[in-house]
Amino acid sequence: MDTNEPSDEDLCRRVAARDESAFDLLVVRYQERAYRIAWSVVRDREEAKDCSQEAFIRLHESAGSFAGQAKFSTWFYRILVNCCLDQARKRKGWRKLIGWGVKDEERGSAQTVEQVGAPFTDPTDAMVREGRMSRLWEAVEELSPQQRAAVLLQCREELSTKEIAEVLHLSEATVRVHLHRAYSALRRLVGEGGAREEP
Amino acid sequence: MSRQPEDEFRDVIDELRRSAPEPPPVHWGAYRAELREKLERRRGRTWAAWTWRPQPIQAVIAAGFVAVLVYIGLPGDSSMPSDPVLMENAVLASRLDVIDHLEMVQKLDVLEDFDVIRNLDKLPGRGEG
Repeated sequence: MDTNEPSDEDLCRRVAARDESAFDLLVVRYQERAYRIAWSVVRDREEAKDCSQEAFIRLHESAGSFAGQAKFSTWFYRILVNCCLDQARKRKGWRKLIGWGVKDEERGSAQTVEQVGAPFTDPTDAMVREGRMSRLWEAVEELSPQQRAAVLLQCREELSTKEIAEVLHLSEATVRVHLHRAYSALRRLVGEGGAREEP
Repeated sequence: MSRQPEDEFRDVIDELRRSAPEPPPVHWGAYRAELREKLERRRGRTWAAWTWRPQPIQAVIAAGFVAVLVYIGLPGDSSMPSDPVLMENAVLASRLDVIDHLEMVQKLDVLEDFDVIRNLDKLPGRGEG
């Protein structure tokens, strides 16, 4: 980031003082991350858009309550994760949170096409690798909501354990336990899957 | 558990980072426009909720205002009250100047009687009819 550019924290203070241009800047900075995190949790394009936009609206309304002691990103992610969990509870109930319910890929070919990754050079490698990857992420989806959120925030957003603890309102020790259990389960699964794949 | 999970499970984390599914693409201009619209709608709703929320002080002020309007708007010197008796009194009152000349009015009645008296001779007798 350019040193002349205002920090997120400065922008948030300006939003609290009703500076709309500061709000627009924050939206541009965080829109992709917010949408990606929301989609990782709710796994639905429209719901992810709604959740991330709702998080920005709550940010706009409550910017004055940002104390500035935590990082802005941590504070905002907490709002966002709360929005996602609220949304998931409201629309799909706990079934979606635990079992992930109906996902985009089950809804139609248009969305499935959007989600297909770029092809690999070797088709055989690609098949094996893709199989392992999908199993790995399927396994992530079967983790408990807090374990899954912790994994997503660490792997995709590269948050530290301390930041994850602040976002999820948990102690650092609890987050470490969640992550340890989640990664152990995933490693076991990948190992078992890999062994089955071998001829 | 002294080691951090990210050190102990580096291989799994790397695999997850490499294979993370990307969300469906979004047009960010449209996204921001939609967000702005939602924000405006929320502001409007908040304002409407605030203005329409029943508040005792507002209700008392409104009631007082209506009372003042009713008082001002009441026909204090109306010439035509709705009660028939009052209306008759009002009509009589409007003709007080005529009643002041009551004698003359009574004489007018006598003049009407004169017409009858003058034509008495022309009236047929009882036996003639």
